[in-house]
Amino acid sequence: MDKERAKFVLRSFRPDGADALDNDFTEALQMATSDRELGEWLMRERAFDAEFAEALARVDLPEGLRESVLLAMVRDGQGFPKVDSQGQEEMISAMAGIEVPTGLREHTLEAMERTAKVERVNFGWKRFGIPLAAAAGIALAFVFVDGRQKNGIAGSEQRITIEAVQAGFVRTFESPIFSLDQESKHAPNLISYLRGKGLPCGQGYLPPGLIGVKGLGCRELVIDGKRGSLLCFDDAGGTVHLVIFRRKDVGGELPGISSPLIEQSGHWAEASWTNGDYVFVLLGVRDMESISTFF
Amino acid sequence: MSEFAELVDAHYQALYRFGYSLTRSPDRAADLVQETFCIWAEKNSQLRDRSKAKTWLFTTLHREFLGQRRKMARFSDEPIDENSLGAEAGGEDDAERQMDGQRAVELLREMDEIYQAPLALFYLQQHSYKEIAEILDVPIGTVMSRLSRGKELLRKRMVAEPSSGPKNLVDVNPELFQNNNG
Repeated sequence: MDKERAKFVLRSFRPDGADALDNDFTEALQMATSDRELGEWLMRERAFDAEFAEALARVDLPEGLRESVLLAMVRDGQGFPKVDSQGQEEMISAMAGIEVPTGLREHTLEAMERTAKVERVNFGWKRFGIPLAAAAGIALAFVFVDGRQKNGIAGSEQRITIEAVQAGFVRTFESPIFSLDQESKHAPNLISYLRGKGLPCGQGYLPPGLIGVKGLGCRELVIDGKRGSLLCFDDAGGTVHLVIFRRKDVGGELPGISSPLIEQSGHWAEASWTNGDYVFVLLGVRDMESISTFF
Repeated sequence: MSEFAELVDAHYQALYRFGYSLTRSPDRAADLVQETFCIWAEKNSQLRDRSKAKTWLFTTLHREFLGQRRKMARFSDEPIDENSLGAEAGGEDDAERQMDGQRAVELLREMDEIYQAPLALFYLQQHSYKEIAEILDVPIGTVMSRLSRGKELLRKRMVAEPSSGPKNLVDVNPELFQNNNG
């Protein structure tokens, strides 16, 4: 493979490093590590790509898009969400037993007539987006009641989900060009650095098990245009990562720190919780039991 | 949460951005997303391999886009949605960052049509170049060529109009290179 061929191949290499394990890129990547000019070209190429991808990800979504998609499915019938647990069946039965106030139907119809007609075909976002989102929110509140409601429903269109935070961290961390903005063994130094950058620090509040653990470094973490912080710690059981975002940027309900939501996603164990104005996710390549020892 | 709601949550944002980069119209992009999920609901039982759902959704949205465009070409008197860019922008405090995103979409739309969809899918980072080939129904080599050539043209366009590019993009203003060279 010559240099021009390597460049041709590497132009298809995604900036977030998602193709790092694809054998088709191995030879070209190896060449870039031994050829200085090619290596520098690759760095410039990936920096350009990463910035452009980030700019594209900043395109805002129309208000109520998620709800409208779901509502369209409910109306079409084919995609009506199925009741998949006894708990939900009981909840829906209980909801069905609630007495409806007299005149509600008429008042609702009158209000809907005053606002807008709800049509799926040729949907105009500027005209119908908000009323439809409101209608969808009401409908979906009955359909998607779920104990955790991790993704939020009405009014959370501009927010990211906790799953997006977790996936965004993993994508960034596993990128071959992952780096830290600031390195220090002392967590307070890292927190001061992040605070100075105007990034969320969670008021410096750490899970009990992280107190005294040696720091590694920190950096800004941008996911779907939302700015968050990443702090890395050198725990005895391996590196752990604390991601912090502002509560207003992350939708869905989350428990407090006393009972964090602990999940396993592939080889990553994740603990998520909220505390006041902040959302936290602690991640490590380990099992759930191990991550729970920090709390 | 239902399987369908999970699917929507996982993909509607990227689908919208892909649709928006193709149409440059918030309304049309939202319609495409909605239509794509409706088609999924009607046909999802035909898709046995659920791991292919993401690729299926993007493929469907792209086909819907092509179908709608064909109809528009046929009925040329049909009003084309020309919503101005930035009309759906987010909060005022984020206006500057949002401009960057709009400009990125504009730059993609200014490219020759054959480069738009591959570049948009590449920069959304949801798919490998092999998956992009599957979505667009073109050979893998063609996708690689279009990405390579398209990215080159994108850079040239930004060099030609440095002030109009996204603010945070790597500076490719040739004057800077001249300064560096003495």
